Amino acid sequence: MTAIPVIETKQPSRWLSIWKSVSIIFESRVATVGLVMVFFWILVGVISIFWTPYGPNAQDFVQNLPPNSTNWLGTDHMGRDIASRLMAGTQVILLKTRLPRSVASFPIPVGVAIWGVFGSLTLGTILGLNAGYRGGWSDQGIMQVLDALIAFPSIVLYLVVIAALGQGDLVVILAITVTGAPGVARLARSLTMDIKTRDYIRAAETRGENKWFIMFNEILPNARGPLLVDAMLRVGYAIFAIGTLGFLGIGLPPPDPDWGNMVNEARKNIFSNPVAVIWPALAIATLVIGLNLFADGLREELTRYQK
Amino acid sequence: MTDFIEKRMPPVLKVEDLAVAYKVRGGEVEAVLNVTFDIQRGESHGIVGESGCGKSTVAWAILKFLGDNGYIKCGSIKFQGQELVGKSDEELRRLRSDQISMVYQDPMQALNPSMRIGDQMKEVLTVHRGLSSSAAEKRCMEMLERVAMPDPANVMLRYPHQISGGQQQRVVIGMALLNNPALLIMDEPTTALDVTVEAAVLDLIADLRRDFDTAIMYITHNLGVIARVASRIGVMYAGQMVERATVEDIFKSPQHPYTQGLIRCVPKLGTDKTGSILYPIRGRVPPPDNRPAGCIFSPRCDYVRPLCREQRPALRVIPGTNNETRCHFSEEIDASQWQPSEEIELPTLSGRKVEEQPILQLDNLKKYYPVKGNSLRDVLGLGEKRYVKAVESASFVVPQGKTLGIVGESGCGKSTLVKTIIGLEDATSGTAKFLGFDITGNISGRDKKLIQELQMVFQNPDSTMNPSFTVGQQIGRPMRLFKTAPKHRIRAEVIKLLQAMRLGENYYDRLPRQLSGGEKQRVGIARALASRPDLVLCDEPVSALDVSVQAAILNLLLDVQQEFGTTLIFIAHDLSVVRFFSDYVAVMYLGQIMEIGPADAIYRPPYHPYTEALLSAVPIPDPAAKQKRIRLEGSVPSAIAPPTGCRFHTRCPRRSLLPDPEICQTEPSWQMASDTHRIFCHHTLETLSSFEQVITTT
Repeated sequence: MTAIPVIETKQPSRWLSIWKSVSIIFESRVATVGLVMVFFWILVGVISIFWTPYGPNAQDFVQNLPPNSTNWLGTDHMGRDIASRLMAGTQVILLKTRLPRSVASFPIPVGVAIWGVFGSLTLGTILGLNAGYRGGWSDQGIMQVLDALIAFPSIVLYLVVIAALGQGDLVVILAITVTGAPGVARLARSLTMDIKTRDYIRAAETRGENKWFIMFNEILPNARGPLLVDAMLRVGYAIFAIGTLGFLGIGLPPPDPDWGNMVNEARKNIFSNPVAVIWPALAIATLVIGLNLFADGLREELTRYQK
Repeated sequence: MTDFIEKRMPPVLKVEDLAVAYKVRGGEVEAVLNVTFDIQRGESHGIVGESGCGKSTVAWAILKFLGDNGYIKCGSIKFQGQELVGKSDEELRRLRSDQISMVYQDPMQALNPSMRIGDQMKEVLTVHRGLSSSAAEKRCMEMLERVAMPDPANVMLRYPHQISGGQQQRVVIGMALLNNPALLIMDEPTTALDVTVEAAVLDLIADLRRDFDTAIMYITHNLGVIARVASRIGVMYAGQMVERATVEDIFKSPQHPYTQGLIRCVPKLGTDKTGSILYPIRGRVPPPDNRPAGCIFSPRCDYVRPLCREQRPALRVIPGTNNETRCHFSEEIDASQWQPSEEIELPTLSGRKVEEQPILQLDNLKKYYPVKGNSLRDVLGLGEKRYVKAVESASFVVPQGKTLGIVGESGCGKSTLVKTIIGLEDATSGTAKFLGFDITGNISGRDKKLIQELQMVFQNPDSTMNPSFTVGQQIGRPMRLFKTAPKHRIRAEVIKLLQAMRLGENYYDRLPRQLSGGEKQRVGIARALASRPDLVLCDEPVSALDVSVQAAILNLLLDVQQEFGTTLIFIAHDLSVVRFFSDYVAVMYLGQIMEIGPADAIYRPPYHPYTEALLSAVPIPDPAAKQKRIRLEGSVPSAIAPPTGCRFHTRCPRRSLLPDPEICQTEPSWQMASDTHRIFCHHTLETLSSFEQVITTT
């Protein structure tokens, strides 16, 4: 005896359903443009692993050349090809992380910016979930500490972390994690406080589920959307931060080229070669804007009424 | 009569062939189509229908409040002879302010929280009518008096949060009438209010209609409310108006199969589960983008014929009646000959023998919440400790396999009581025994076996399920947790449970967003039953559902109780539902149980004066029923400082009958009307028995 006439909904295949959820990106023009910009840089990075016009660190040319037919974007103050360095500069941000010599001589995949955001997302989410769900003194304690962190300008925090631990990719990741976590925690906390009032959390509590299960299995999956969009924006900020650190000369260590460092060095020769400073700055800007557009478009599309 | 008026003057509102659509991602949704109706001067026209049938959209279309993505696709809306469709926003704005007013569901959102009530009301007159401030003030005072506000001068100076919900709605209604509008649109104005407050507001609306000669368009989902306020009713279904007639004709001789079905769905006050059956309408409302080609109701209609599937019927007057109906075969349908179709699930009450062992025993259970004060003394912990006395000495026994219904207005402590029993809160004092074990502590101190036997069904179908997990995962979780089924059998067990809920195996992998409200509620019930509990607490399980779905869920719960022998505690604010569903009923007021006893005993004298007032306030979906008019004065006092003695004495309409009314300041004693029926009142049983029956149906 089936009372409800079954409205035929065929289970779509796995690929189709994945495509369906991905395709909402293309509903938004803003998100599509952002995605294209980001993909452009990822593609450039991947190509640079195998091929660059010249060696990124080879000092083969005359110093401070303006753009010409051999060096499309000109050369820097040490006679290196800017185009090659720009391409290779994508790697440390998006594609690889170099471990200290003492640990391993090979890099691990995925770049510093992304690891940094991953770190702040993990730390922030754990803290935010606990603060939001437990409430009371845990909330007070966690949020006071995080608010104290926010009170420092982030550049000061970067300096403190790097001064204490020395230069290196892992240190930059740690710095990004520490500065990003309070923001993620605030977001996670407010989402948690909203979600914990829902009846399905009551249902879990009346089943006697333990607190960690409720936080990570019942609440977190429903807070995922906004947290991921926020993370997307944060990758942009992280790239910006790496640029800033490079500009101050305490960012990612050589020998790999780093966009922030390139801006810094080109700045010193700005009167003899004014265009050199533009290229790395432009690279940072397009990548960050691309990520922001993508995140904005995605958020708009996710919150829109769905048919 | 109607024809006569129509010839004399144009109707206030004439909507013809209206269609409204919303643009959404990947197309558009037609929310409303071919809606035609008119409202005469001084008439109160009800629009009734289930959620999502487009009744609010019609109201918004008249005011052109359709948002960015909504637009009027075709049709015409004539207001006092002027065409509204195609008017500029500026013209409409002027019209809205002067001629058409609207009252919304939530009065708190209609009032500006940062402005004094007087200033908000005056603004209407000073801006639109150009009145001077003092003249406006005088008009506002008169209006507040007109809507039966006590102490208008004082209310004018207050902020919205300083008056109660019922008073807020009075202010909103008064504000809407300040400009003497020709048309007043009310969109579920009493849905957020308690029954006793609702009754008073409905009285007010009926009064005002008589005095102001304003046309009212009254939108609601509640058949009882519509029977009380409307003179003519339009029944909407899936974006169309399927029937239109006077209130008497709709309830006495409904012509459309949908209207007939709706009326069969609601329990009549005074009927119970042993004497009557609720008949849900089979199937569900089609989604707006997938409506059937022919008659929109045809997939759910019991009288469907081939023509119904091909051709959409037009709204026409059925010969021999005054009803306009959108049905091909209305003349041939005889509602009295109706037989439930085989597809509907009906509970089989086999009168199964249950041993009357008490399963839950509460004795003097109290739950107080400490209140934090704001003074320095309170912060330092020196101030006097104050408490919200949410539940005050609750004592009762629930026998195994029976249902205890708890009724009361919002804030009466019924939810707190349930939370304390299930262990989301720990009790302040008193004893509570479940299966012989102490349950006064909260859930963290309870044994897993005990937790398993005590489960809960929640109110809101949209939040009862975790949106991230499939139906199967969610029902399976308690089985895994309590190990009620071995791992490899879980899937089979879940499917068995789904089938018991009348959901097929194909629901196993669905996500909550693919389910309708009723289906989500079924899954919620399945999840509560998955650990095979002995006692299930139902916190308003049907109050957020449409009536046709509500009937199905109630039937399902009855069946579950039959099959598993589960004991239920059933909270609801709808007295007819509680009466229908429960074996025992407890009436709560301000944390105190006022009366408890077998369901049929509660609904006839002797009863507590508060029960009497509640019964007199229930909207009954039958315009012919006679209901005694008892209205409570004032609002529910604060639970921080409840009245001493009998908590109800400040509002009790029967207090004057006592020889010495001062006695109410002292704690009353329980009057035993029978072994199981107790009343907490100073009146003697003789007096209480002498009250006449509140509701008499003819």
